[in-house]
Amino acid sequence: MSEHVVIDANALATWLAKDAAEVLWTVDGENTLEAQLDLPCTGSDLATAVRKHGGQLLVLAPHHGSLGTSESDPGVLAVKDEHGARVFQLAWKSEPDHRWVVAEDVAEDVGIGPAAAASR
Amino acid sequence: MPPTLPSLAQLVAAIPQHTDALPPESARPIEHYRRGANDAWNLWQYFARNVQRANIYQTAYERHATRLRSMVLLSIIESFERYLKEVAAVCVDHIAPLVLDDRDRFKEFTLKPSGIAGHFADRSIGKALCEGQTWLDCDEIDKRFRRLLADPFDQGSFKLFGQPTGPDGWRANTADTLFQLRHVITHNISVITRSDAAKLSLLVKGNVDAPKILSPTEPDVRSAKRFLDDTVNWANRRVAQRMAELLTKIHSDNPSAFVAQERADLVTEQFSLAVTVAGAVGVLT
Repeated sequence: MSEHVVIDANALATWLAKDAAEVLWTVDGENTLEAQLDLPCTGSDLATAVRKHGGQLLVLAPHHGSLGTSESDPGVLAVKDEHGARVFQLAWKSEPDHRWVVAEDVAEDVGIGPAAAASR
Repeated sequence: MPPTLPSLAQLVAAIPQHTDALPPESARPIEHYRRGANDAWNLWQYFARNVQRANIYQTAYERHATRLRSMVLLSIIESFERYLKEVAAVCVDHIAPLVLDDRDRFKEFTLKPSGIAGHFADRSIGKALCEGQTWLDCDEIDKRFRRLLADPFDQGSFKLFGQPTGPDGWRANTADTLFQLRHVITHNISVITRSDAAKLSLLVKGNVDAPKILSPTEPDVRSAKRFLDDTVNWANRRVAQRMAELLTKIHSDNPSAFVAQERADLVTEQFSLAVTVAGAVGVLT
């Protein structure tokens, strides 16, 4: 178990495009991605932006928590909140102190994730 | 002796000193819009995701959540207004040095000497003309862009929001509805007055009650953002395309006016969209 796991941006992008393409996601705190995307956006759109940026990512454990280590399946590195929405706390390896979040969109009245995507 | 407390006047006077640097994307209007609108949306999402974790007083939570959604809706609409004035300023800065064709191109803009003085350091006539104006009425906005992007010696026919009867005619009415809601939130602290209700009824073609307090839901904010995100992308393509056509026209009349490739690259950079000027394709970096 570890406080962070290093993954390639392409690995996260591939997972988003393959396993979470229709889910809506928001990005909070990463200026380059936020300037390119209309949030919330689909996993497909987020995958394209993450792949374009490239580089290495730190997936950070939540407070008082730890992470499994699985580069092959970035999905297991997400933490689930009480709505069941998946949340990644991330930092670019080149800027380890600048932390940001990728979170499955929380939709109060129209459902979360795929249901919300279907309603768009 | 106890330390002297600063006066309230001093404390308030210090507020404008508490600032952060502009983000790099502020030079590109569409990216600046996305940053502003996404930040506002993320504020709501952060609140919705995290505050409910705490032991909350449900009534207070609902009241604060409604107020916060109004503020977020307002910020998203204000980001759209800022996009319009920033993209207009970009157009003015490209065109003003190249055309001295008539007196009407900038007729829809008003500028006082203090406005010029205030923007002198920016070296941008576009900012001087556009920043001081409000951009909250689609008819007015259409008029400004029509004249601004007209061919030399022409009154122009470009309509940013499209023809009212065309396939995108609904956008102006929808934007005007949001501008009126902005007025409600900003000037009446979310109270829909009878005057607001009369205007909104015309815009939505249905009854709007008054006096009432506007209480936007999450789907309301989500819908407004989706509309504005889509409209900004649509408008950005239209203005970039029209700018490229106008610059091509100016270049064909006077090929020494500017270097086509340099201009195409600059417009491409500013609109975050590849455009072609006088045969030169802009490179998006």
